[in-house]
Amino acid sequence: MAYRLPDAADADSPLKPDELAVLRAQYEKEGPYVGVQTKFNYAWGLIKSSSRSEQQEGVRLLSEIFRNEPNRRRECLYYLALGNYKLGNYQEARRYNDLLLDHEPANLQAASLRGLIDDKVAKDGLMGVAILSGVAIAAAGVGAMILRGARRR
Amino acid sequence: MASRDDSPAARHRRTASEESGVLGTALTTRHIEAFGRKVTTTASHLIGDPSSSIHYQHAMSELQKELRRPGIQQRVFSYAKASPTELVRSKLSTSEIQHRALTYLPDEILANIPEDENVYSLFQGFQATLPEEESERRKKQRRSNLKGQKLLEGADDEEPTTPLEKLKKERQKLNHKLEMMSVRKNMCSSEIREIDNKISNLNTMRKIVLDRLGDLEQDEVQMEQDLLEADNRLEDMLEELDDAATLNPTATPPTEIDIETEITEEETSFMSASIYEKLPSPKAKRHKPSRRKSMPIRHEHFEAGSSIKEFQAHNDMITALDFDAPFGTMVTSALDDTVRVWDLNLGRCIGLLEGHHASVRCLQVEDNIAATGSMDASIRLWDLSQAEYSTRLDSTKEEDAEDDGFAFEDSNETPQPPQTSSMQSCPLFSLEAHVAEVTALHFRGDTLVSGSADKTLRQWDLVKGRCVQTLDVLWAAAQASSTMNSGSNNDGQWRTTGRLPDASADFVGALQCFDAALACGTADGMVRLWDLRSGQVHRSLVGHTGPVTCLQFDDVHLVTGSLDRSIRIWDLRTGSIHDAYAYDNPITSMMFDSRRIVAAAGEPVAKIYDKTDGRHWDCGAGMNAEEEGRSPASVERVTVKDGYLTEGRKDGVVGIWTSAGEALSDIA
Repeated sequence: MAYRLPDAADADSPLKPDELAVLRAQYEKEGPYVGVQTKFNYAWGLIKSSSRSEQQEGVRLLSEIFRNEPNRRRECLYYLALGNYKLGNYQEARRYNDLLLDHEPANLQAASLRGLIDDKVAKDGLMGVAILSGVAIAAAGVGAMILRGARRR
Repeated sequence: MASRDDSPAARHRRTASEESGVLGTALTTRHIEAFGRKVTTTASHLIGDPSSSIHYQHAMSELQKELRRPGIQQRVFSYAKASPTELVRSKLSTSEIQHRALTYLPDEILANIPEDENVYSLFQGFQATLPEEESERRKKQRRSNLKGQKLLEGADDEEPTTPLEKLKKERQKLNHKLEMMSVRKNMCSSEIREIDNKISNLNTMRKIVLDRLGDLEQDEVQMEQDLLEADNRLEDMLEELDDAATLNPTATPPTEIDIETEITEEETSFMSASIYEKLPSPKAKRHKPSRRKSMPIRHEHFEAGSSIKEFQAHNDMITALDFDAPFGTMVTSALDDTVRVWDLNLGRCIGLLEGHHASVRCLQVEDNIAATGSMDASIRLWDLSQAEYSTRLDSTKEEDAEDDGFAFEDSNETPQPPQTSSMQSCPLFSLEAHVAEVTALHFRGDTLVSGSADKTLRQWDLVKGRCVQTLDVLWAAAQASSTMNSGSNNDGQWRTTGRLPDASADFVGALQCFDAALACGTADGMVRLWDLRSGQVHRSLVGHTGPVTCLQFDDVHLVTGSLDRSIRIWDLRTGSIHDAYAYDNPITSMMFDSRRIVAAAGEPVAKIYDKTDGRHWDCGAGMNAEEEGRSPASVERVTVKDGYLTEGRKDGVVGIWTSAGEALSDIA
């Protein structure tokens, strides 16, 4: 088998609208008794999309697959992690990805996804620290001024 | 920060008031300036000065490197697994919160992750579905492109020039395609497995619901019984009140409306249009006043051909059986000279109809009225609603014989004294005019027709309880041959059948009437259509080469079965044959409902012909008797109504089956 899981970069290349339409049509045609593959195809197409609401829908479908199809759970973990990563829900993404790595320590795609998540979290974290510290300094300054003004009185 | 003692008091007061007026804070401009100066000088010292910048840059790059490494970052941010932006979003946006609630997977599910045993991954499945479309589109594009562009494109693709490489690439491509093919194949098979699982799931669900339906129907019967009791009590009460109030003895003579309409107009066609139009279509729902308010529908949901019940009804061959409605009341007669009434819903014997001196050969049940024709040449009518029978009591008691001579006693006139016998109040009256055994009868409304071994047919008025017409079959046959002697037309003549006339065959095998139309099948293989108003035979249907044993017509077709092993379907309007088919043995009984013709043909199974899809199939105990090591007796009599099939066998066993399945609803 060549590769069983897509790379994380694959999630960033959106499908053409008509391709997605085909997948959606197939998904809707099968109605309430939709097959796993069809559901996944649509979900994966949605996750690849660049629209946030579509990505969310994709993650929702994946979580449904995860609930209903125990023998697809392991795979789903990866897609859930990837989808949440794209959505920026790094906490969830890490939760799923780490679980997958627990089961399959040799999974290359999951390992690289872990790296990506860590990077993203760190970057956001730094930015957050910067913002937070800025806010803190400003607050401290303001606080000090108030304090001083109060003492002058 | 601020020092109070080293500045002059006046100045201080002035600046302080100034500052507080402008900023409202405790910082003075002087201090801000000083701070700013300090910062800039430090910065310029660090960055601007070329000699010291190395240290700074070194430090910074060192720090950055440290920060870039995930290990450190994780250590740094391990207190919060989520980044701040994520935190903000997840706590503040409602749609985000909703989405999270929808997609959140609890830990117990996450903990249960089985081994991956799938032949292909979902992603491979995705690829196998998608690329085909993509490559097709690409091909189309290429085809639409100009040739020159195609060449250019070829150059851009840097296609391998050497044939070896080309072949290798080709091989690789084929390999890939093959792989995709196998993935697709596996997708199909796993999808089929999925569907199978769903079907089995649905089947178990169906079974559960079916059981529930059965329980409900049981309760329904109980409830109806209660209702009936309440009704009876109410009626009694009202009667008592009426009696007390009027003090007039209420005689309730049944209004005997004279419905004898002796129209003697001559008809040339078999059935006059007036009668023909009145023929009910079996597809139209019959709105008959039923003893039961609810219609059991359970059997419609059984698998076609499945057994509902099977029981030893008699100790000898079943000679006739009929029932009013699915899961209603059934009456059976056998050569053991008994006539039994059954509750089909519970499968219990309600009682025995006693009065005939010999075994009953033919019977019919319609609503609450049962008519039986016996070898003692009499016909008896019974009101089954008078049976003292409660569904709750186990009343399989077989009661003492009822005196005959009960004739012409209408149930309306007789009060209802408490009975000890379950069937004591059932007999209505008996019709005695035939001089030989009654072999066939049929009634509808107030008219009953009977056929006897004395070679006559009689028409009875059920209101008056007497014979109103006698039709001599042989006379009619002779009449027909003398009047219509022209040419080769020998219709209506009494014919001797191709084979030797079977001594055991009944002279009148079957008959059915509707209004003034009467059809009868006789031992000579002829089916004669009479007009009861004129007493003449209008048409004779020639075709059977053996005695006709069974016959039934609806608004379109007349179906006959014969000892010549064939079943013939005639067109009622034209009198021509519409269809015919044959079995291996003589047909002893046949009946059809809206969709199927069910026949008894000397086999341990009932033979069923599906009119709509033309399928022949068997239903009954003989179907899987071999593997079960049983040898059920051959089916002698069949009755079918609304897909509910009962069959009586040579050994006295009665089997109840469903011939409908879900198909019944298709027709409606």
